[in-house]
Formats: sequence, C-alpha cells, structure tokens
Amino acid sequence: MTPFLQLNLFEGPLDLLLHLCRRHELSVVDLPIAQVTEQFLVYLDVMEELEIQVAGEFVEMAALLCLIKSRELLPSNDIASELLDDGPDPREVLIERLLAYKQYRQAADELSVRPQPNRDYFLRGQSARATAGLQDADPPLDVDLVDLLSALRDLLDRRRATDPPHEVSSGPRIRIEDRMQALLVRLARDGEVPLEACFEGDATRPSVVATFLALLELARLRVLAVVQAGHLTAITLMKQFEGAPPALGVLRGGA
Amino acid sequence: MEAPEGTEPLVAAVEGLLFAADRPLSVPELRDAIGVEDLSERAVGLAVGRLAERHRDAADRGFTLVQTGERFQFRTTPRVTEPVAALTGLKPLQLSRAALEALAIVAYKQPCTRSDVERVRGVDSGGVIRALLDRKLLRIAGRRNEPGRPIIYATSRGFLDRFGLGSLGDLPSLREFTQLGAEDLEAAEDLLDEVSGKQQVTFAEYATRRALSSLDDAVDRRLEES
Repeated sequence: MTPFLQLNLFEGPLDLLLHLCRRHELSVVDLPIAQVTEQFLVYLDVMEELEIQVAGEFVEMAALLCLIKSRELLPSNDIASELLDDGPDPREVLIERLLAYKQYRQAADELSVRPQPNRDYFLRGQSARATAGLQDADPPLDVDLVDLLSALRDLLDRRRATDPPHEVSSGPRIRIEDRMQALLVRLARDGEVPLEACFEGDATRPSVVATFLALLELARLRVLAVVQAGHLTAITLMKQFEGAPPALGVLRGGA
Repeated sequence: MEAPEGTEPLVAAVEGLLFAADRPLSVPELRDAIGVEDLSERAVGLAVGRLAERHRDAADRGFTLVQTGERFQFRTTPRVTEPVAALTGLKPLQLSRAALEALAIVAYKQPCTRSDVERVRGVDSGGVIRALLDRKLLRIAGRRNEPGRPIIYATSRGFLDRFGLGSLGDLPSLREFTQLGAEDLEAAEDLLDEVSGKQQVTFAEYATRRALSSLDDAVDRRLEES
C-alpha cells in the first residue's frame, strides 16, 4: 500500500543514529554499540509496522551494527584477533562516518542561519523585477522541457478516445489569437492557472494544440510565466501583467 | 556628475550610487562611476566607511549598508522584514534539510562527485543534487578522470550571493566534533534552536515532527515491554 503522505523522518541511517545519540545523550565518539543496535532495530521494526518505507540503507546499517556488536562479544584472545584482523575496525570506521556526517550537518545549519534574501533582508529593485517577470536569469519558461512536453502528451492522449486521429477535422477554424485572448482574460481574473485547467474547454487535438501554441506565444511575449516548483511537479501559468489584460496588438507591436 | 570635493560630497555620491544600484558595488566601481580624475580608491574607501558608520545603528533604521566580500549594498534591516515581505510578495527560497546537507558537503569538498556526497550522507543524493543544479546553487565543474568519468560539482556564484559570501574563503571552518567541549555542544544546540526558529514551518515539517515524536514514543514503549 502506498502511504497517503510520505514523510522523510530520517535523511538516512546516519541521521537516525545521530537522532538516537541526541535523544539519549550518548557520546558519538564512544558509541555504545550494544545499546544503539538494540534501539536502531526497534526503530526499524516500528517504522515497518507504521508502514513507513525503510530504505535499503537502513537495513545495511542494521547489519553493520549487528556485526560490530557480535565482534565486541568475542573474547579478546589471539585466535579471535587473528580471525578479525582483516582491515580497519568497522566500529572506528562507523564512528568516523558519523562524526563527518555530524560535521556537515552542522555546516548545513550554519549555512541556513546566515542572513538570506527575501527571508532576513530585502534588496532594492527586486519586487519590480518579480512583477515584471524579468528576473535576469529566469526566463518566462521556468520549467523542465521534458515535463512540459509530457504534460502536452498526457492532454492529447486523454482526448484520443473521443477524437479519432484519422478523421479529418472539418470544424470551425481555430485562431490562436482567440486562444491567447481567452488565456489572458482567465489570467487577469485568477492570477495563476494550473496548466491542466487551460485545456478544460478543448475537446479535440487541434484545439489542444492551439491552446498550447497560444500559451507558448504569451510566454514569449512575457505576459505569462510558465513555472514549475521542481522536477515532475505540477506546471502553473502565472500572470505577468497588472490590471486588465493587455491588447494583443500592443504586445506584438512592442515585441 | 558634479566633481565632489572634500569628504562630505564624496560620501553623498557614494550613498546615491549605492541607493540607485540594483547590485552590490565595489570601491573601484564606485570610483569609476563618480568619474573624477585622480580620485584615489582610498578616498572612496574612506567615504564608504563614513557612510557605513552613518548607517551602522540599524536599530532605528529601515535599511543598512552591508559588505559582502569586496562589494557594498543597501539592504533592509530585520525590523522591517514582515511589512516589506507583505508589500513585495517576495518569498524566500526554501531548501529542504537534504538539500542543505548536500550543498554544505559540496561547498566544503568541492569540486566533488555525487558519490562523494553520498558517502558522507549515507543515502542516494542524485535527486537533491539535481534540484540544487536547477536552482543554480550548484554548477557542473567538469568530469573527474577516473573510471566512469563521473561529473564533478562545485558551488555557483548564486550560492555565494544567497549566503552572503564574498568568496569560498569566507565559509566558516568546519568544526571538529572530536575535540568538542560542553560549551561547544551547548552552542550547537543554540544553533539548532535558531535554525528551527528561522525556518518557516511547513505542513510537511510539522507532520514530520509529530510523526517523529510519536515514533520515539512507540519505540520507548516497545523497549519497556521487552
């Protein structure tokens, strides 16, 4: 079963180990392996019961902890040390990894408390640029091209059932200008529109393509921005003008 | 521009330039913009210093002069953050903890490969590295000459700007945790509090914290039973 909400409780097994150390005030440098191993295994058990996905790395760490624990249980005589003398002590290696991880965790914390733009301070001229959609580095198409095209493909696929591709369309001619106008009106009203919603009225493939071309053209004219928060996330159209929708003739003349 | 003579007109010129500029300016840039012959960088530097003094008492001001590396820029003071955020509608770029970890590792180890990052974090880091590339905080610095020719990453100009660093040399040195005393540990705890205070708590984070504490409790119960 896929959980309804996936939470990343730990950023990996090292994170869980540090969590254990912090919670029980254990020293990382003299890591008490027996205690940590017991706790670690119970965490994995409970997480599995709660249907929290436990990645392979956690299982690997559990195995490593058990190995170290069992080595510690062996009597320290010559035969044992001969048997075990096969490279660096895994306990030392683990502690070093934990300390290194902790070090970078702290470095990450230090980065995140440094004053940051738009959180701790603001610079001049940022707001105007944001509303004009002309942020130097950010083009109006701030999306993954593959994602944009696959969104278009999805839209077309969904229409395939109702619109056989071999039938020659003899419906009314579709003007891209009309679609641009309609998009502008909608943006003026809503400010931002999910990509999907733009195509609600388009029943046929030519109609979908016309709307798609219209939105690309408006992006080129910088009156809308196509943005995406991250890979594989929803694509949204954002308004890049103030007040009433600008007239197309003016936009084109100025471009 | 009218030739500024004496210190005061020079301070005024520097102030005006920094006010009008939409990017940080260095002393040589300021001197060139003022355009007076034989004007020494030292004189401009002194004027910047005078200006900084004037803006130093940030408590009763809405903006202040800040130096990043060799460049100077006006920015708002913490007391006005809320209203300015409301006016401009600007939102900070939120980075997940995973992203911050990966960013810190690359920042200190660069140039480094994805597997360098994964070795420290102990988990797959391809996704976060891609996200950091998308946000232009990391850049691809080439390929390493070893089997598989893995891509090597470095931090970008955007990284320095965002974290207010003049150069990578301004990064604080990494702490050695093997030599930490009780005081340092307390300082680390304080830092952690500051981090959680600054981060806007999103629904997912809130849910994560709740889930984590109930997980802790469930583990405790289980250990008591056995």
